[in-house]
Amino acid sequence: MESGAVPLREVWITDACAITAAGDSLEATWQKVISGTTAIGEIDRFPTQAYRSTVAATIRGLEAVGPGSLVSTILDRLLGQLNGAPTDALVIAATTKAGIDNLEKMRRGLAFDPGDILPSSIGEKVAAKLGLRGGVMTIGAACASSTIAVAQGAAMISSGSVESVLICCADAMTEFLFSGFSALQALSGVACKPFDKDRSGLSPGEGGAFLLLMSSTRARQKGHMPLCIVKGFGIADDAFHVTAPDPKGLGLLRAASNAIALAGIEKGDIAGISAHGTGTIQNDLMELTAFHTLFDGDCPPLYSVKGCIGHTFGAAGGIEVALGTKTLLEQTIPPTVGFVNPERGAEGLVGSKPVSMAGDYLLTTNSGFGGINAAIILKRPGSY
Amino acid sequence: MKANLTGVGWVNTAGAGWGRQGPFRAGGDGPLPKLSRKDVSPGSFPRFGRMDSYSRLGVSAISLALKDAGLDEWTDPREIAIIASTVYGCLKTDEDYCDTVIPEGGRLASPHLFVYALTSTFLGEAAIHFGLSGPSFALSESVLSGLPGVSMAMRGIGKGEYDSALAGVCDAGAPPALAGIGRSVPGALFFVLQNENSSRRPSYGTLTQNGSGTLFYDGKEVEDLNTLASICTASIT
Repeated sequence: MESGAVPLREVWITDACAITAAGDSLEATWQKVISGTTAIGEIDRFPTQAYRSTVAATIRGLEAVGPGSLVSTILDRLLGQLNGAPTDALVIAATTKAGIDNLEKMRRGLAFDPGDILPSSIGEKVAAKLGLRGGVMTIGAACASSTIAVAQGAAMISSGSVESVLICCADAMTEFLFSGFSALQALSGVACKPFDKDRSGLSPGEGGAFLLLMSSTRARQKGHMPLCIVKGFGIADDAFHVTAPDPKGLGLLRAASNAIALAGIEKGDIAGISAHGTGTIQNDLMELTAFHTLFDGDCPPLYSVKGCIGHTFGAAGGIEVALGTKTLLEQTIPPTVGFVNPERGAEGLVGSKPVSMAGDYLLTTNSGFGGINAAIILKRPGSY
Repeated sequence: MKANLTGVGWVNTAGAGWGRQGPFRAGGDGPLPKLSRKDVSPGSFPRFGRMDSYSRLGVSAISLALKDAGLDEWTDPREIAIIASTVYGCLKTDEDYCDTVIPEGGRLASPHLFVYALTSTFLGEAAIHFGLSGPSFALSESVLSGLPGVSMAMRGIGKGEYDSALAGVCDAGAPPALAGIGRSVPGALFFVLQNENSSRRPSYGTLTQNGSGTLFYDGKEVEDLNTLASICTASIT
């Protein structure tokens, strides 16, 4: 280290929650993921006759309150499980479409709350509801939105800009998103099958997560223990295509390599990968290519949770980091629900049953439209 | 944190321009200039005409900022970040897309419009056309500022995550029904920030950031991005 250089501060995740179609809490979602069963089922929220699929992972009983959006209900359920946050916490929200269901209502001439439509409304609602005064940001980067929110939050804490960050991400399964992916011919007709050679597309989902990040110093002062440590992150763009990933996976490769370098670990220290694993032909092939290149023939086991909870869009990364804390704590690589016949390159890496994990580091990644890729390295906490 | 300001490009109701061409003039409410492919790139850019108006606006201002910094031509992708702040983002495109979904129960849903129904799609377009392979994301604000995005870019450069970044604002205006929700002036304005070793052209000046995140340009506090653009281009004749 240079003389006078200040070492990066350790970033702890001290609280986490996820709400998905698989469960109304992180524990319930984890148990469903581990069970190897899917929460993807027939949609009863809107007519689906015109679309290429009739299935998605919707949260049972999720309803908008009055003219509010579904996202507001998800946020209310999430924040009800937060065990407090420092009043000086910065809120970093992430979403792809916020209350887009209310824009749909507006165009249909139905009653709607315009305050739910702007993406910035997510973070502002969280800060107002919790009385947080550390500022608000809302990040949009397609399906890597909340992964980047975690990366930016960790970057700001580790550099000393802030002491704590509340990451809050949410997206709802709306006709807007469902029709769009149907029009792009990206939907699977049945529950999606990540990394399976017979996969045919993604299954939309919905949900949200919060992650409370703190500097280790602040956390110790407040008596918090780490669920997990954010050791590294990387973000890179393919600069290749707006909707299709780079077949060589070069963007994901750079994002993951940068994350490993920042974490100060060796590739061999990674004991598992929480992949994006959407179930589209191109995404899953790209990921397998990138991971095989990155690990040079010695790839650790990898999994996707989207066969269970669907693709939760901008919330995917946050939910997967929350579930990643469970993966490390339980030392269990979850099954990839829907996976039966391995795509070439997935043999022996992806499984349909939970398997033991032996190690302290998990790589979790997401990729999205615009060619954006983001990677996070999580570390299992030691003794504190 | 410290970075050199080496480029600035804009499109607003007062016109389109770049720093070394002439001084920045702030725009107001009203129609934005019609943008063509030639405003963006001397070479081929077949996708430009397919983009929604929000994306064309953002890509155009990014193009002008890169041109100002001497970074518009490239052979290999460059690890340049893009951080774009916006209030309304692509909501007008969202409305147009909704109007293709509603009439026939979704049968006429436009895949073309759906691709542009993200605040960040134009960043991907810019990344592809200009070979920008660094981090890129949009920051949604309720009142358009762009300063937090510039601060994030400064931190990324300062910590060595990337050598150069485009940071700025892009807003095509509010859908009528949402005019009272949020506040912004239509237009796009991007700055190129670089570390000391990356600049191809002389710097306009130096941006610094103190411990509490306040930005300074050549030692003077930055109040807003329009003022920053005005100050740094004031000496251009």
